[in-house]
Amino acid sequence: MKFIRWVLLALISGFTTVAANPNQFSQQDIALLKTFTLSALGALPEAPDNRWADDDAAASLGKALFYDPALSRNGTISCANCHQPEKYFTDGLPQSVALGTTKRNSPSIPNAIYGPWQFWDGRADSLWSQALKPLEDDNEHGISRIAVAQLIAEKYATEFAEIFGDEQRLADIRTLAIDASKTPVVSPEQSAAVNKVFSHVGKAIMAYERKLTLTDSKFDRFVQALETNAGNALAQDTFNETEIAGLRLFMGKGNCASCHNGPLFTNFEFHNIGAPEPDITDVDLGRYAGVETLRSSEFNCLSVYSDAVPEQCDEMNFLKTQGPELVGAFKTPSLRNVSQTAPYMQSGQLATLTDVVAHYNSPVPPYYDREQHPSRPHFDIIPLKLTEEEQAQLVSFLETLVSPLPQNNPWWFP
Amino acid sequence: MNRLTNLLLILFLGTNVFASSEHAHSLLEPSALLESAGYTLALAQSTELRAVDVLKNANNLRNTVNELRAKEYKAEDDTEKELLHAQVNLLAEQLQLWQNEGAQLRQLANEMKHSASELLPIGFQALWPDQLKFVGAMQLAGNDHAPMAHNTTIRSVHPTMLGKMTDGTVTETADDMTLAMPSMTGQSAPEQLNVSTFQVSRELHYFAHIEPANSDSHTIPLNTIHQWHLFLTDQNGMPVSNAQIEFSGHMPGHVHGLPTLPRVTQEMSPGLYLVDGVKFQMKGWWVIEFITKQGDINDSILFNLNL
Repeated sequence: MKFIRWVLLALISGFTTVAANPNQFSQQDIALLKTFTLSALGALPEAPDNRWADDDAAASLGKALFYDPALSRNGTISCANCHQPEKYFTDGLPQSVALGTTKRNSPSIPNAIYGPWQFWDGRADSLWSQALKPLEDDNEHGISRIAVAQLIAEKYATEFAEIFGDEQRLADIRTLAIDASKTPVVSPEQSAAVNKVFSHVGKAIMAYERKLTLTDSKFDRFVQALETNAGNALAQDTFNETEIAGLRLFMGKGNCASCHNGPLFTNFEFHNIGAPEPDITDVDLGRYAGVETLRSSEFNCLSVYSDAVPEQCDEMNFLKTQGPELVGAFKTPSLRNVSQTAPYMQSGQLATLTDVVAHYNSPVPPYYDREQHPSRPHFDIIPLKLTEEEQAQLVSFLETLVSPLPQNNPWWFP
Repeated sequence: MNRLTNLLLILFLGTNVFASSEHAHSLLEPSALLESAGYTLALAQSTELRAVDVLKNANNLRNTVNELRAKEYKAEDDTEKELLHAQVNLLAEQLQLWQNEGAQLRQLANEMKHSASELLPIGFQALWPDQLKFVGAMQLAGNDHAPMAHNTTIRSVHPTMLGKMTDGTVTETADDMTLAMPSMTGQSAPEQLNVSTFQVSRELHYFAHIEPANSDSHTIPLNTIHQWHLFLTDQNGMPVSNAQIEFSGHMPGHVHGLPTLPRVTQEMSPGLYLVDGVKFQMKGWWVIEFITKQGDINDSILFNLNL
């Protein structure tokens, strides 16, 4: 009996020696961590629905449109109002403010160019169809597509004719009544021309956004250093002990990597994590409502304004349209640059990363109102039981995911 | 293959294949292995039913024996006591025999099932030597052996669910790693999950095999729509054409489904179907079900995936 106890003790102490050295990583650890680095990102996703997705001339035009406040009802709001380059294309506000106040928090663009869904509820299936919605939203740019098309005919005619071959369409649009106080009488041909030119605005902005690539963060450099030093973290000075502990928690007890996986730390899918309901008198149904808007969108991958053939629209062809998982669910946000893009959650309900980690540590089930919700939302977050110290370590790790602002990237700044 | 399989093959194929003169020159019809598996499974099923029957009778007999024992205990008359004692002893002997018989039948049924399942991979390979590429379990590309389950077992968290609210995340560390990761046990996956990509349907009408299409390995990507091949035969090993097949998938540990609605988009050749729109947004234990309809026959085939 005594012998067995000794053997057990030896085994346990042997095990703890291995586990207790947080500075040594194995080859398999590194292989796993590499799937989270930017080197695993690969080429930009194919965009069969936007023929100009990788066209440099379209990207330059898109950049001009992105920063042009003329694309708004009162000439003061550009995309860059809520997507500010120095804030990683967010605005630092809980809910974005343009002509009015929106319902949602402004997402970071560089993280979005690889995902199949746009908006927190995924109601757009491409960056180009996403870019069109704020233009017509009364709280954002508040400008009609006819007014946009007229502005293009006036201000960007040469570029649109050259890049998109819109010469005839712009000529048709010029024949529309210019008087904004009157509702113009639009023929079906003119309407088609307006929509086509409007879709090209989105496609140019998308081509621009695809140029907003990320540079290596401290985390990416840490994994490279581990690889160079055979997994010995003591031989590198990129990460300190707290950040290493935070990384281990992120992959383990924190349960973060279940959804925040891959090089952008997101699975791009929709989950209800029980973030506080911003307005219980008008609950946000998230993906449940988003999927309906997406299906009826006149600018989705299956639409006549898409350049794809229907067989290329995989996400639309196999779209999940029902299920309690969709109720109040929001897209897993990327964690790249997360410490620079506060506040957090779909409506900016949580002010700091410490608040976010505290929420996951002691989650509360989602608000449920049978009058407003189609079904009880699906929820599967369990308390993490992390100590205060561990929560702080996790936050330290999240702070290592910042890509330095690329001062030399001409695409990034106006 | 074990000895039982060989024996069954000889018994079954001996009468079936070699009796046919036009095929006398070939060793086996391509369908013969699966046909044999189908026959073995049918035998296993009837053996299992017999086992159930015998064990049910044994249970009834045990109740009788217990009643008689109680009577014997209470009997005041010595002759009656002796008579009851003799009855109890004789019946208890019978009970033992019946129980043994039931247990043996059940074990035999399990052996037959096991041996039939061993026939499935080579049976499918014989039928589709050029199309079928993989026999191993499906795995995620990349970190294919690291556990990273979305660690939860319940649909809704409520403060009254004490155990679930106090334990935190269960983690484990793989042998060749130092990173502890959320373990599969949190998802209540059975210890020995059957992750074979070769399965028999619930009602024994079909055999099926799944594998990733357009892939050089048996791995599938995370967070990406991809395609599978579904190979389908009937219990006689004949490819099944024009089957109506529905696809569904869920994570038993979390009570949530797939992020897409995959479906069978075409039958590429008799019995070989293309499944498109498959996507997994999480690692962990997934259950995939194909619900099949063919005339009046409704059946379903289950696959476990440990991604």
